[in-house]
This record gives sequence, C-alpha cells and structure tokens, in this order.
Amino acid sequence: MNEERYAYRVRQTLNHGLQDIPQSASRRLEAARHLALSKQKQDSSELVVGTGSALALLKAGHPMPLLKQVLPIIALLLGMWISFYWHSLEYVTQIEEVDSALLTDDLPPEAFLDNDFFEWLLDDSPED
Amino acid sequence: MKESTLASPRQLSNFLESVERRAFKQAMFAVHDEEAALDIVQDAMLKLAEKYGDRPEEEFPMLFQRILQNTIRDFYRRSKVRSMWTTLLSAFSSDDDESDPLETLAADEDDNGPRTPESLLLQTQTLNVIEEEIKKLPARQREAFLMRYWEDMDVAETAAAMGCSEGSVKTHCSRATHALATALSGRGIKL
Repeated sequence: MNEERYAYRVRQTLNHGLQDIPQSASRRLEAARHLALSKQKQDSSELVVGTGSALALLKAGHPMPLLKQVLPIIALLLGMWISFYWHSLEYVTQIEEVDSALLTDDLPPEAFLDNDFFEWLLDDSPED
Repeated sequence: MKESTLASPRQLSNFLESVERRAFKQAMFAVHDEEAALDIVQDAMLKLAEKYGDRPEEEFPMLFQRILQNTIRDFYRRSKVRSMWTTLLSAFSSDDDESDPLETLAADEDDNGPRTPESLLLQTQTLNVIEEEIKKLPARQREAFLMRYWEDMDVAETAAAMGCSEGSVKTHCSRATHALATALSGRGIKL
C-alpha cells in the first residue's frame, strides 16, 4: 500500500465532509474567529510606522522598540569617535616628545646610534 | 526586516477561516461532542490571536495545531469524568459508531434536500465510516495523521506541534494509515 496515496484519498473524503458541518456550528466558528481577531496581539513596532511620531510612541507607552533600534547605532558612532580621538591624541603625544627632545637637545646617546632616527631626521628636514 | 514578515489581521483572519472547519472536525473526532468541540476551537483561536497574533504567518499552522491539541488535552483533564460519560452515552446513542450510514444519509437529505443518488450515497457512507475509524485511532496516531495529511504540515512541523521526534511522527502516521486501511477494507470500503 502506498501510504501517502491512501492518506490523500482519506483526505479528499474528509474534505467532502467539511461541507456538511451544520449551519449553527459554522456561525459559531465565524463568531469565534471574529472574537479572536478582536484580541489579536499586535506587533508594537507597527505602531511606530502607523503614527510616525516619537511623541505618539512615548504616549502609547512603547518607547523600547525605537530605542532598541537607535541605541546600537549611537553606540557604534560613539565608539568610532572615541577610537579616532584616542589615536589622534597618541600620535600628537609621540610627535611632541620627539620635537621637544630635538629642541632641548636632550636626546639620549642611543638616539644617535639609531640609523632609523637619522633617516627620519633627513626625511623630515629636507631644507637641511 | 522582521516587521515585513509579521502577520497582519487579514492574514490571521484568512488563516483562521481556512482551518476552522477542519479544526472543528478534529476536535469532534477527539471529544465526540459538538458544543465541546466548538468551545475548544474558540479557545484555540483566542490563544493563537492573543499570544501569537504578532508572529509570522508561516508559523500559524504549527502554533495553532499545538494549541488545539493542548486545548483538547486540557479538556480531557478538566472533565475526565464528563468525558467518560460522554463516551459511554455515545455508545448507546443513534449517532454512534454502530449507526447505519444510511440513516445518517437520510438525515442529511432532510437538512439539505436530496442530492445526486448513488455516488453521494457511497461518498457519505465512506465519509461516515472514515470518521468513525479516525475517532477510534489512538490519540497520538490521530493527531499525527490529521496534521500530516489533512493539515498538510510536513514532518518537521508536525513533530514541533506534537512535541516529539520526526521519527515518532512517521511511525504514528504509518500506523494510523495502516490501521485505517485495515479497518476500512474490513468494512468493505476501498479507497
């Protein structure tokens, strides 16, 4: 026996039986459906789209969906700005140290043994 | 992105409309009582709408079946004694397993007027016998069979709705189909 084919024939017969459901039962099913629809849980973010206003959102008492969307973006931008600012500070500090050492003639003896340092001086002072 | 997949009231309405009659029949197969079956379907619809009304439409069949079966089980638990009496009394009523399909056909004709003779007679006889035999199936086999083949859910969805493994679903379906085939052919019905 082909199980699926047999089940399909049972299904066809059962479907015929659906037409014989009493009118009273059909009406109750319809009423139950309308009752259920009147109590359907709605996605709160639909409210945002529907009202298009943050004020209405807050008044409705559903600020969380908007915050959830906006907070990660703000956090990302803040992180990028802090990272950029910190790298700038670090770079300026390094430059300052070298410049002040050069100006005060306070370089350690090892600096004059460092070939890279001389190359850097030559590259950085083309007028010399 | 998530919003676009969530079901609208119209989608929920269409879904409920498409399943309500089968759900009613399923509940009838399980509890053998029209009023109780209607209450069960109404409860299941309400639970789906109230708790899962904002879920994607594709999840409705599995969720609804899960709720429906749980509501049927709740009904059994709440009214075990009443259910026992219903079953006992239905064994003596005229609309029971032993009823003559011809009698039911006559009743149908009284309600809806006469239909085409022989094919409809056979169809009604077959339907009555199939419904009787489905009622007799063990609950889990009946659930699996109806979800899989009447609700057109795949094995994974049926397993999720029943809270069992896919292997169990296949076993239940296979046993149910064979039991139905044996019972129907024993009563002279070939599909």
